[in-house]
Amino acid sequence: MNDKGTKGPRIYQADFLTALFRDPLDPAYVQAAEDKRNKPPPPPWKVLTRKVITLICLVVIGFLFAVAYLQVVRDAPDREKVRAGLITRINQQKERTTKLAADAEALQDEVATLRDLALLDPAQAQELRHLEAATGVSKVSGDGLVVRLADGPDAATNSKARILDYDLQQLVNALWSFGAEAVSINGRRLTSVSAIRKGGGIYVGDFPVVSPYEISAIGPPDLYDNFSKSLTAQIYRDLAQRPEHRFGFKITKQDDLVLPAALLPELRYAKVPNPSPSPTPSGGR
Amino acid sequence: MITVLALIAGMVAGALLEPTVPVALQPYLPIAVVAALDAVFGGIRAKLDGIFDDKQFVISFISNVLVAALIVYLGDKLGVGTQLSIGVVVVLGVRIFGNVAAIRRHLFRA
Repeated sequence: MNDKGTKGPRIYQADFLTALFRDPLDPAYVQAAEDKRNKPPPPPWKVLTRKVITLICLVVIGFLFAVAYLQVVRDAPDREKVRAGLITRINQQKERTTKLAADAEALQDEVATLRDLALLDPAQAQELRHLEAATGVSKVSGDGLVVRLADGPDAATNSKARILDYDLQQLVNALWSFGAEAVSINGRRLTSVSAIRKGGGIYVGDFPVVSPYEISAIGPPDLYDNFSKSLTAQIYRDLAQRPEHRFGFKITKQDDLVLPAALLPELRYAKVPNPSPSPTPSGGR
Repeated sequence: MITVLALIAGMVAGALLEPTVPVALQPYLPIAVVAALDAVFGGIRAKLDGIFDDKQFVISFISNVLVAALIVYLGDKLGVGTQLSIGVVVVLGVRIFGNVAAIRRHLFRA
């Protein structure tokens, strides 16, 4: 390695990486050994100091190894801890949401009761309740049907076996057209302004829903018969049987369905009027 | 023998003290470890070759760590930190491999 430059023609030294592969030892060691041979041995105190420094170096290296090892070991549970913490937080928030939803429902019931008391005319109260049911503002119960839809077993690879937002739209529209009074998908109540749309998965209003889908509808007594005989239902029954689609589709008649209230849409333009000194039952929203 | 003891003493000290590495120094830690490994294996090989030199060992260790840290630092500043770290690891890794191969030849004659 060190013998270039002295002879006549220029010798190109092997490039760095080749040299590295060929002779990985620090050339300084060889040089130092040569120097030592040529020079008289250093005084003993110098040798001793160097020995001590070497030992200190080794202690430092050992320290470094241990620290690095501990660091790696410590980091792994940290990541796990973060994950576990996130999961707990998600669950807590979910519980909170459930509790808040229950609270909201109870409060809504209370409001309805109080309003009924305030409204002197029972006919008016009755009408209001009907309107509320139709708009999805209040919880409703009654007889109806459930349409169950599920992605096919090979939905991950075969996009034709996947249920699309369009399918849900078609079925829901058919249900409305046969007089359904309240419809919900996977427990999300539909109102006149909630959309069924695609965005990553399928969204009902602002909430994502996943397969299996359950469309519950409350309606007149002949809703089930009419719907299961309808063209839409027949088309889906037929499609579900075909080998290239093979998704799940089933209509069942069900009594005593309970559909939750829809989340009230945010009022963007409407404002609460200036509170009048004497609250009157009229006015509405 | 005493060198191995020193190494073990350092490890024990590190394990007992359990120092927390400052966040700013954390990216340098793996590189420093690889550089230290390189110095250690180079030293072992030199020892087996019979040309071990205390001064060379100390200098090679310190310069290895410093240069490796400097390269990583520069890489961070230039926005190619990871790539340069990989470069450092590859070069030092090759050297470690070569030195370990030489040690193996010494020990097992194979």
